[in-house]
Amino acid sequence: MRQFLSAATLTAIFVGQCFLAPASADEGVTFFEREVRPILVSRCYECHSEESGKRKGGLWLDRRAGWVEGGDSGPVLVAGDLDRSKLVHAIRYTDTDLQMPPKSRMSKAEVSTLEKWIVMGAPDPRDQAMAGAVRQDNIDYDLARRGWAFRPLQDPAIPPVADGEWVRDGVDAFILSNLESDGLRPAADAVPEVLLRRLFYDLTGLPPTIEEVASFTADPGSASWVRVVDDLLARPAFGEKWGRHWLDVVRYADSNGGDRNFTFYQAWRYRNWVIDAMNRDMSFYDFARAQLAGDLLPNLSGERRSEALIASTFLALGPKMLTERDKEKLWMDTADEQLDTVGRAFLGLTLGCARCHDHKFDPVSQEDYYAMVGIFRSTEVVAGTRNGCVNVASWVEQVLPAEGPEWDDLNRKVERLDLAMRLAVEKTYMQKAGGKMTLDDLPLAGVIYDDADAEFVGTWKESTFSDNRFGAGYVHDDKNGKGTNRAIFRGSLPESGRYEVRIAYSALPGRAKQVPIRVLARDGGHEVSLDETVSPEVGGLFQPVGQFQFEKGGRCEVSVGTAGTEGEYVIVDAVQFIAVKDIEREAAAIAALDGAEIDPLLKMNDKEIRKELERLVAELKNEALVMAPRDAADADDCHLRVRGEVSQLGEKIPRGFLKVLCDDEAPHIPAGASGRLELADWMVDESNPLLDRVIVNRIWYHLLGQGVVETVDNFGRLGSGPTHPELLDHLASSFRSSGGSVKGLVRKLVLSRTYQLSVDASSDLASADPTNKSFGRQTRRRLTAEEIRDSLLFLSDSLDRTPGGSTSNSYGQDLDKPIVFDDYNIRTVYLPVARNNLAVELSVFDAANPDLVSGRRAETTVPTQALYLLNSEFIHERASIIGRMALDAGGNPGEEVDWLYQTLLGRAPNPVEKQRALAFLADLSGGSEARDALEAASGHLAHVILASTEFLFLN
Amino acid sequence: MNPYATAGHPSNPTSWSRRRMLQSAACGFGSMAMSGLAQSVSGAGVHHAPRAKRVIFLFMHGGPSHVDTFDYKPELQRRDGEKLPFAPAKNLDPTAVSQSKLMGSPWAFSQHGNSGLWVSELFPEVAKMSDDLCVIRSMQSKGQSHGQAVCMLHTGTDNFVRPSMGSWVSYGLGSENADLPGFVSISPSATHGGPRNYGPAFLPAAHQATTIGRNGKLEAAANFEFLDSKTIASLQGRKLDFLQQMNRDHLDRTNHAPVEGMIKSMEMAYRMQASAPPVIDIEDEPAHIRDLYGIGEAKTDNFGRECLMARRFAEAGVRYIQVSTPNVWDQHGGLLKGHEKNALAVDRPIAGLLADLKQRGMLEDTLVVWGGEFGRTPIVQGTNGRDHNPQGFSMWLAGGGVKGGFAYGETDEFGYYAVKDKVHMHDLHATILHLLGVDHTQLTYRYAGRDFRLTDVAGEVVTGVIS
Repeated sequence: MRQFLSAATLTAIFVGQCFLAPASADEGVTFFEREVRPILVSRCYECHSEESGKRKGGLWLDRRAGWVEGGDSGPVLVAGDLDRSKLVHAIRYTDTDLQMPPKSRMSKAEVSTLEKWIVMGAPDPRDQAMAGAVRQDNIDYDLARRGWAFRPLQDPAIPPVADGEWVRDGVDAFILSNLESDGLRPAADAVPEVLLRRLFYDLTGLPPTIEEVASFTADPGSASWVRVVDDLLARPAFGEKWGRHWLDVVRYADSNGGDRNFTFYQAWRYRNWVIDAMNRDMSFYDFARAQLAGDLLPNLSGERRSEALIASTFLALGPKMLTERDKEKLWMDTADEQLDTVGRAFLGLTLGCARCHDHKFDPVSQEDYYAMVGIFRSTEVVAGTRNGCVNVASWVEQVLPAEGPEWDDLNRKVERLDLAMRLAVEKTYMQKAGGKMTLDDLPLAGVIYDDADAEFVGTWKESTFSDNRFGAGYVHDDKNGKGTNRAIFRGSLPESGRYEVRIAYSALPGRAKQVPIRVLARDGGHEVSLDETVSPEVGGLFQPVGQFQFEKGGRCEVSVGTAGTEGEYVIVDAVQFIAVKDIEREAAAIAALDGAEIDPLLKMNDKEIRKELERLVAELKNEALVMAPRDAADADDCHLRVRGEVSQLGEKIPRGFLKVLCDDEAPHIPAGASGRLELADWMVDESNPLLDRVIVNRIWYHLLGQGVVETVDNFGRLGSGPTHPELLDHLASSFRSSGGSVKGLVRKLVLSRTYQLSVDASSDLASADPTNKSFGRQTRRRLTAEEIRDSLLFLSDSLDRTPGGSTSNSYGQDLDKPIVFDDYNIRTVYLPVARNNLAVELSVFDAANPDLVSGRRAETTVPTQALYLLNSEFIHERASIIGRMALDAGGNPGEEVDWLYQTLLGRAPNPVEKQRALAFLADLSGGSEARDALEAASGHLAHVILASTEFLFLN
Repeated sequence: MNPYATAGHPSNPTSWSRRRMLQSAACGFGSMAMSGLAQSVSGAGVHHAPRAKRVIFLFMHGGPSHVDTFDYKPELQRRDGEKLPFAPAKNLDPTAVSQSKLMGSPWAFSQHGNSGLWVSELFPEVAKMSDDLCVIRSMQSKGQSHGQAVCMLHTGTDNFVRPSMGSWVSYGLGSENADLPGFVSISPSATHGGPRNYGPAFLPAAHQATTIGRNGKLEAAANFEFLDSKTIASLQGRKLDFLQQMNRDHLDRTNHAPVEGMIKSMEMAYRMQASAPPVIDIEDEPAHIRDLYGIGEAKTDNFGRECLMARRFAEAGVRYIQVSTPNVWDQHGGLLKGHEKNALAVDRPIAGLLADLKQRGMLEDTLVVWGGEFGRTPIVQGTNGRDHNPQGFSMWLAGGGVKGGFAYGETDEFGYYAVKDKVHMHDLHATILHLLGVDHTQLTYRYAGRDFRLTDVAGEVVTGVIS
């Protein structure tokens, strides 16, 4: 016998039975004044009244109109209906997302008073009107469209200058004209050695050799400058240097970061694609379009299709909280991360700011945000389960397009991996949810709750009379308690989606017909009925009663009632929830019981499946897969989320682009499509001037040391704004008319006079413009983390120039252990970028934080850098090799010192320096002529020079 | 005078006293590094008189069960095995949801000290310090999984990349010691966000924690990275002379501020080589002190050494010190053995730390914070486990301006939801900053077009816990 009545059920029944007739007006008002108002005043007014000046969540509770209209998420109280009154849920404190008052729960007496009041029809004499309640559209789009960032692109005239001789390129005229109007002269040209070193680092990330310096300084004219520039632009090292700039912007990493630092085995393909795109000077518009929608681009074949798919990895690269149990939140957070990255990378806008409210400073409304985030919510990058734990999500990997039997085989493997992921989750749920299978080998899918897991109202009898049953036994109502007996199965499902609900019973003529079944799904309650005299369709035991939408972690409840089934037995044995997409597979598995062929996966137990899952992941890590997005099966517009809370649905917002940059008409997005392709086309269309402004500013920043807009990732109002708006538009227009040639713009800039200036300013210029906003001189910069490591390898003659591939794969399935680069002598750009765990070579010298869009790296000074320069094994090792090389290259200490200065600093030592260095060598070798002692001393000198600020800073 | 020739060997007492002398310097690391990048320094400095000068945060990674430690629930004991009479929280593990069955604590609770604070038998030594504890029994946080909840606890957000609490403190207050970092994390976890939990995110890099040890383990030879010069002192001194001469020449030619920064940084690094090792080296502590922390006994040795090192960092002027257990508290199953083992490993070291701080008069201005990323459900998972419970759990504070022998807030009768005087994680953060003299709404940093703060748009100082 089971007899258990939960308190929650009790309350519901009590209220149901004692439903009060609407009170008379007087009675109601008296009750309100005596009982209700004091509670509202003491427990609610603090945050929800005009008197307190607070209207949290947009809700006023100091007037009737306040609760009638409700707050940001709609009405909070439905007179006479406790279930539909949010206020009741909030004060009952049983929903974690909504508990009011927020700090302390009301007493039981207070809760029941308010419940009683609502059941009475919520009489409320407080009739003040709502004031200032109308929502205003504060954004003046027309004004915004006239601003420097958003206005249409126009090629400004080249300004006239007094010193026409000085100008080499259009950009020089913009710079000089500003300087002249301030009565200033630009700095002198840099000397050839300095210029060449700058160019080599800026274009290739490596220093010139002694021979290259000698050759250029012998003939430093403009013709040989052009020759060197074109030579460097054509070297593979150009893409390695400039590709890295873009990788900073797109928060490139080889691991997830977030909560689980899984290795992104396939991310490297994207990295190499970026490097390659830079080297072959791919049009920036094609470059951008492929990253946003490469998986969807029409009319591509062969290699091009593969490349486009790889390019779209951009969207999948972000850090994710893969263990988030609320999958809708995970999806919304992922979409948010994508949108925020797209906004900053391509548009220089912080779109993420509009998730919870209209952007406070820029013309981006919350509707704009949800119009765009809907596109990414309709894009799937998170799927499956990574390690067989139901709470750990994985990501989408697709097979690179190809043809032939090997390709078919790989496709099959990926499909099996998908199936293994689903089965792993299913088996865990089966096991955890108490799925006790006694029907030999009936391979049911989904989640099953046995009667032993149910909650019963009224008296039920246990039975084992029928052998056709699920689990140890089943229960029946013994033809008693008709109308009040109920069996409730509270479920919890592994993922959101559409499920078929099935009820298990053994059919016999004496069973009840018209058994009322109530299914509580995402969209509320559904009533269906069941005829238990008819044999169930699935395995003769489980009868489908309908398909419903459920939310992971949300409400999922099936109750079997007895009302209206007089005189016959109501049987309750088990309830099954099966995802609609698993039905076919389950049917195949059941059919296989009669000898049909079946994938052995389907017969494995949960341990075997998890093992198989891991095996498949490991087997596939080096295969031709790509981490790429795809349009989601449930692609659709998404709801605005009130205050950004995922569970607080506002109205549905049609997908679209930024209102400030387009006309008001919503784009046409075909049914079932995400809208990404349309977004990509809009993004690169010439009607979007921000794209060009943002990218040319990035290129300018990398060559001139600071942007025309200093905040390169923020073109919004809180950004710095342009120092030279016409110059910015000149660059953008010429970039647009070049078809988006990055190399073309780099070439234009390094050939300009402005680029070739010295870092040293006249005192007039320095005092008039201490931060070099006028670009009257060059900007000194520190070498980047990659440049430091690559240079040390290069200078010690050890740099391996082969492009790297999937280097991260050798560090394990996650990148949590210390990342050591020692085994590799290839360029740093090819080595793993582990989120939350950068190799010291990267972290110590401010490599980009791969969690965030980093168009501009920090240049910090911290003691760890000094400690690294003094004490790291790597630098000691490189220095000793260079020391030996110096010893071999120079015939005597004097030549040795010359060689070291020339090689490491690109210049000869002055006499004082030379004397000092010779004394140092003599001191350290202690006068010994032994090779060991000389080598050691030379290595120490090399170490000191490599640790010096002159080596670290580029003029 | 050549600064390198006199700094001497690490164990040289001269350098030790030199370090002491520098302890009063307002801020070393912080101020200098800020010049590198800070776009806005609106936060730096205290806003009101601080009650605590430093924080030691004892992080119990994995989530210790509150209903088995500091939140006594007689009703839960009485109704052991019954169904939870209301709906369980969202997103629980199905093994917990399907049963929704209450499980009383397998450990006995009793009252301790003059205050009569309830503590379970899992923490007999900490219980003796009850009159110094301020237990918050109504904690609430965000994140049903570790990754989210651990980030929430450390950075105030469960899904974005934000600076950690220690980084904010270092940014706001700097270090008390010019030769040591403002934020040190002892044996931090590499998982559940790893360095994100002690990272500066967009704050200047200097505010990242300097770490020692890893994943809850502190090897005997553990050291700050690159601190070991591997070069004899006289040789290094000679090289540094030459290097700094080169750098000064370079500075003369360029007048470039970062070059000057690097010169100073080299000096500081050199001093750190001398001044940090004596702080890190706990070997010279007397036997009775080592014993107090349980050092030398297999089960408590590791955490004991971590706690003792924390005290030494605190003494030396580090602002924010975190000590982490390995990720061991996550008892979805095996609660009985697991919690017993975990509590045993930390009980004596923690009690030792509190007693030691107290006898040195340091507990007055050192805020000790104890807790995990969430508590555990009063409903059973499997047969002998508990799932995550961020909707109500306990943390405790001690010293640094909080009431002793005091319990604040309540969970419901089973310990499931916090129901009275709820303290959200944001509120705890606001309170910790407040005790340090910092107004959490004023400690901001401008990044990507807006001002960020540890408490986002929330957080209220819990005045009820302040003495």
